[in-house]
Amino acid sequence: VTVLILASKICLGFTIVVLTAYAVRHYLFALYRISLTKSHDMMELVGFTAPSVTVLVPMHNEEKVAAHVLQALVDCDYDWGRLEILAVDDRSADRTGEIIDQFASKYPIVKAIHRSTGPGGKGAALRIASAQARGEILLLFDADYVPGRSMIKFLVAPFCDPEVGAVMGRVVPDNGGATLLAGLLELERSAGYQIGQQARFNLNLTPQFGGTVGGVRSSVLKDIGGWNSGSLTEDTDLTFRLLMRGWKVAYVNRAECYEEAPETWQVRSRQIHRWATGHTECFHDFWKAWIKGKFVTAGERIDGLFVLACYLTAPVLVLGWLASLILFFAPQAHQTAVFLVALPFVGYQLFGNQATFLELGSAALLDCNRRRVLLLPLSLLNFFASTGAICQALVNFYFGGIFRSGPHHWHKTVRYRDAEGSVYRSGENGESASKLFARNPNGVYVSR
Amino acid sequence: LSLGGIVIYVTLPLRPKIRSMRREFIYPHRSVRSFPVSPLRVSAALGMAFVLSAAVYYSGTWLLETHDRISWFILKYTGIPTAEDRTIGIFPDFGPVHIKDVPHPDDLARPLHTGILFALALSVLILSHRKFPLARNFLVFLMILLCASAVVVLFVPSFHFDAVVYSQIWLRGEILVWLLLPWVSGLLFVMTLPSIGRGFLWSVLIELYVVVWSALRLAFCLGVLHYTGILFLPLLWFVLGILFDLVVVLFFYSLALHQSINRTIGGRRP
Repeated sequence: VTVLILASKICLGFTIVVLTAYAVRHYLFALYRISLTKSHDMMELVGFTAPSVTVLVPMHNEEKVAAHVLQALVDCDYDWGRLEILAVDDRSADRTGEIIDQFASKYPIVKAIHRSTGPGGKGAALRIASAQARGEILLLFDADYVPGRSMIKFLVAPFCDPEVGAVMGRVVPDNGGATLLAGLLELERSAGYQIGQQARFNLNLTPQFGGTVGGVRSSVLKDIGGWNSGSLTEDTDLTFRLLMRGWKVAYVNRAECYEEAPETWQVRSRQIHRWATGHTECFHDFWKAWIKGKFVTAGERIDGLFVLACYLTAPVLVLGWLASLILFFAPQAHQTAVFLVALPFVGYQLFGNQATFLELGSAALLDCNRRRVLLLPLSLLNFFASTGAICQALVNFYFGGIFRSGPHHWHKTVRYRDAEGSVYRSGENGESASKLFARNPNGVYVSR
Repeated sequence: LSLGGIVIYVTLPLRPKIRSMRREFIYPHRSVRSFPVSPLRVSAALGMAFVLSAAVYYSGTWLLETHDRISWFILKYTGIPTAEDRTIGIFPDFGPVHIKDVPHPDDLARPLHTGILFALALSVLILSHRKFPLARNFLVFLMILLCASAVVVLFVPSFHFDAVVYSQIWLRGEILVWLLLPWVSGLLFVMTLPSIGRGFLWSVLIELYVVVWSALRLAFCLGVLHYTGILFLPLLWFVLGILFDLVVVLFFYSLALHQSINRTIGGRRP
């Protein structure tokens, strides 16, 4: 019993130290971002000629959303002589290929790539598409995204800096009014991008390339060996390979692109499973090389380790809870009250996708997101739910190999839009977005 | 105007000033919006946190006794009997305070009753688990707590709680929350909200509210102890204890932000 109590105290102390470190990091980010005065370095575009761009859109069973993203990309304000859109039909069993072909026959800048065999996953699809791309810059969009007309210009602008190897835009959920979960995810995404990514970019730390609403230099991609088709988070994998070769990742807060956030917990859980597994895989692949990396600054090194290990905090927190439970039932439980107070105050703040509630609140303040901010206390549910899902994923990651062999399975995220004209099923933002597209008598999606 | 022989000429514009079609300023896009945290704000937040913490520190024993009096009043008002006072220490700098004991049934003496209560509570949690997908992991956490509690209560006779020990654990946690809270409030309300004055007000009100609210929750827990024994006490401590303080702070933070955002949208340039 004495050993168990001692072990519990050590475990609880370790949990508090780890979580406090993360909480302090996020507090600093939030305070830095809300008092931001530094201008964007990438906005100086004198002498910069627009490069040729290839937009890659990998799609797997995306008939509900394929037309919307392709139409939005075709409508983008960028010289068609320098623009190419590669839509990849990645082993789809629905009408995705047909919709892509329809666009390819109508618009010369759209090219269809049909893929019926080979390994699954976004990384594999991107690898094949990148080999056929002719642009100097490769931009990426997931199929459920609806870019605005200036999006390509916004994302291409940071490449005027020759040190920038990749760029990332801001993801904004457009269905926050659909369900409670979607509303909570809107707050979480807002904190992650408006505060986290922006602060990390301005502080010269490690802003992350997110694999969508972003781009990478074609030459740089070849230089670092292309996409890792075996990774579940090919974006994190690419970010760290870029940074270790001395390239910078730029974040453009103004490049806002709308997406569908998961509306049901089952869908969200699968998404977290994929992220947690892929991210932790990257942690094991890179942490040693990252510590030794010769192009990495001290700030990037520390922040990068925080980023790589972020999903490991969930099981650490659960261990801390279990330790606090043991201590509570142990004799003289009240002696540990100090630790038990510290645990929730630092632990419960790391809601959802590693954002403190100060970060969530500050992002809502900057975004003037008055309605969603009232959901803040309910973030606690999202926090418990995410923590559980991450723990399940990591147990599967570390011990799943005992029962199962072979590569990880890529779970496709469910889409909620109605393919027959209206873009979104519900939500106050959805109603306005549904005015964007409609089917003409020939069955082709056009801007209204 | 003629005032005692002095004539004052006042020229009034014949036409009102034509309002410009241009906006006075271009409202900054949210991607570049900011609320500068000036040294004045930081000093105000730190000063407020220091003063409030010092106030809690120096009036700690009085606060604890007031807390106990509120709990005792609620118990008395709801008809729950209390036994005589016992004097306990909280921390070396706080207390000793007088805490009233609450009689409660012995769980070991009536294991069937405890078992039925456990089964009922577990059934409610399982039903809720099926009904509310987003709360599932939280409910699993509660189920683990309940099961651990049942095992300890029924099979570890040396484990024993009474109202006084429970109140002592509760107050040890809460006094630390009261000391820590002004620093959290300083950060959330004074340093980052557009209005410093409102930030002060929120911070002071929350500090007072948390003390009263803690007394209410403790009274509820002691009421549960009186009727059902110690089975649910660990669960109640983890859920209604410090975690609930945090939820309360979050609730007020979201309200304060809701108000501030309204004012910001009103047109004031940050």
